[in-house]
Amino acid sequence: MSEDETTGIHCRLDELLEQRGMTLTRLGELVGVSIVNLSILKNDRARAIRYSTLAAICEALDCEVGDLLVRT
Amino acid sequence: MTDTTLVEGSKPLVAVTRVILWAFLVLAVIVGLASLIGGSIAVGQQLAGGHTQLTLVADKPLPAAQTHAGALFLQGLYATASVSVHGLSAGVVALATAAAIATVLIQVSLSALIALLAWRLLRGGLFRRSIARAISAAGLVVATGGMISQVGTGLAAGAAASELNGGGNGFWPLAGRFDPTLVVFGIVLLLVGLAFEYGTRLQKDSDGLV
Repeated sequence: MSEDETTGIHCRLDELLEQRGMTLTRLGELVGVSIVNLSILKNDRARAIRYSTLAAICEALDCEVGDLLVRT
Repeated sequence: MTDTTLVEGSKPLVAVTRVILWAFLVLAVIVGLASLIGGSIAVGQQLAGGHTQLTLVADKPLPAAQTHAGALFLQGLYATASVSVHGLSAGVVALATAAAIATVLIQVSLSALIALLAWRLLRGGLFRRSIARAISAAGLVVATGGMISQVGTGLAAGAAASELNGGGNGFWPLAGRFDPTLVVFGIVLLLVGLAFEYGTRLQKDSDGLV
């Protein structure tokens, strides 16, 4: 896959954060992931995600994996 | 993941490391240019003037006058002699010139590699295919250049000794030296180049990993 190619996966982090009234900074503190990496995830620029990151975000946002990641 | 500088740590440590890397970079460029210019001039003079610079095997005992009061000189010998020879046959001159050119190429390629690595450490993005290829190329130059340099120098020294002796037994032993250090170092660089190829693949795998 080239650098510019999209993954076909959309991360709904923005919507979930808004629904819960949570900031990216707070989520970063809760899951122990840097703001830079959460921004990459939020803007659909991530090319891979660790299970540990996925599980931590889902736990912090109290959602399922399918709520966070959807196919475009 | 974006390319960021690989120099990390506390601020003073980063500052010191950056200064050291800049020093390496500048020194490598200066040494590389000096080697290229100096080597080219030396080879040019050798070809134009017909004076060949060689290191011959000497194997002659040191004079007893080397003994000093307080320390007792037991024994020793002159192992090599740096000489300038005129009127050698074309084959010997060609061997010595090839060895000299190979030495210059080794010096220039190693200087360029050090400068490139220092630059990449400062700017980030060390594990790139271009860096892996540069290391492998430098390894190839050092290994083959080292072989050419050592074999050329050794053969030229032996042949020059023979010509200086006038064909028979004389002052100069008919021997040359072979130091495999450069060849081994070149092979090590080739292996490091392969390791960087592997690192580049790992870097690619982890790019964009959250």
